[in-house]
Amino acid sequence: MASRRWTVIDFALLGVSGAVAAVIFYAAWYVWDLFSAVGPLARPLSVGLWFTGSIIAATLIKKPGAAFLGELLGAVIEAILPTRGGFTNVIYGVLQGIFAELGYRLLGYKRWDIVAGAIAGALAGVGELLATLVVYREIFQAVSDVGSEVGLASPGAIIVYWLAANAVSGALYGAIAAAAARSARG
Amino acid sequence: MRSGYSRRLGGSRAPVSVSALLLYSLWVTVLAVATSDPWKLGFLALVTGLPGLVLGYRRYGVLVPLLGLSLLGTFLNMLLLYNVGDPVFSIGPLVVREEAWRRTVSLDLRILSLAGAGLLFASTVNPRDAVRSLEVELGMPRGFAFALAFALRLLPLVYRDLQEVMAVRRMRGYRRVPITPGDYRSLFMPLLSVTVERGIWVGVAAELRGFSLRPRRRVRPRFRRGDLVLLVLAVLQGLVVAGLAGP
Repeated sequence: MASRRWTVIDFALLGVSGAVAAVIFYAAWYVWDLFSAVGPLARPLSVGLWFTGSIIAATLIKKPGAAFLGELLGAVIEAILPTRGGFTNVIYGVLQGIFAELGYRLLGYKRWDIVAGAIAGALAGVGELLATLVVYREIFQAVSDVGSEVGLASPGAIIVYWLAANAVSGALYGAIAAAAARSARG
Repeated sequence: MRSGYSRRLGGSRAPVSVSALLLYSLWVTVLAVATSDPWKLGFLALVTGLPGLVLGYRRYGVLVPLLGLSLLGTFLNMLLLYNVGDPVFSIGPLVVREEAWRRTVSLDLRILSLAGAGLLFASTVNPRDAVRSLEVELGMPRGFAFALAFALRLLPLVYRDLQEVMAVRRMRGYRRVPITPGDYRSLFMPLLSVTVERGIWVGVAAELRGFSLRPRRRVRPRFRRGDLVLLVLAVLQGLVVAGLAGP
């Protein structure tokens, strides 16, 4: 394996992934609104777009820490641009980045392909859920309460649904982001 | 480009330092996340959210109607999901009940506070000054600061490249608005390839100019008069959220 020490080229590629991620994150707000119009339970299916920063950075740089820093950088730029989320984007960026990084860590930092992107994207969904539980707990509580009231689902089942939807969305967009980044890097 | 930033903070005569404003915005964000009490969130929205929205509207006008849509969406979602309890008011045949109203107010005030804090910073600070402040005053790692500065520089270039790709697509008879996955692929892959290539060569150039050997510069943040106002507001909001002052 090549040196794990970060070079200036790696940081420049991190900047590239940050810029691309910021554009995707900015556009993701409109996709989120579109899915929200369908209903609160459809929302998690669109969140995978917000995990692509980590996957693009990791696939381009192929070094430990790239997934975390890529997600964090995209989130910081998203906050500076700005978007409606303000600095909460950074909270999401940190948590999603940690879990995406965990995905590559579990693979021993040896795989940077589409499968690794899908796994990291799926795991980033756990970070998103944790961040939403902290920042917008009222939304989750309302969804959870209604689910149990109408007898469709218990709060636990809602968490499982939320996680599964995040994982599916994250894996899908993660795989696409990894494929695009691999193709661009050549 | 520079003239667009001329009214923003960052110069040596600015009334508020960039790092103080950043810390203030982060502090209000933490406070807004920490509390669910509508009165406390209302105070944050009034002190920081509203001024942030007013300042942000000048520069990012499109965000404010979108924010309004978010607030309306929250209300409709809560109405759909949680319209139980005593009636609060009615809109025609629609009766809005206590739980839906209480949760809407809490969530919307939080969204206002969060967006206002972000807009307060983004609309008054030049992004390049923000990066400089983060690096030399607040100690952000140099490599990350370089990546952040480079990404901010890349954004207008990516936009310019996008215009060119769109123009070429039009000349070749592709549809103007991309619809299919293939359309998006043909739009974004050239963009990504060009941007990655640019990144690699910028990295090589920076390395050749001795970026790694450049000594690290740290500057102690200078306290300015406006910082005192921010400090007072930050303490006041902290006390209110902690329940030591106010409603």
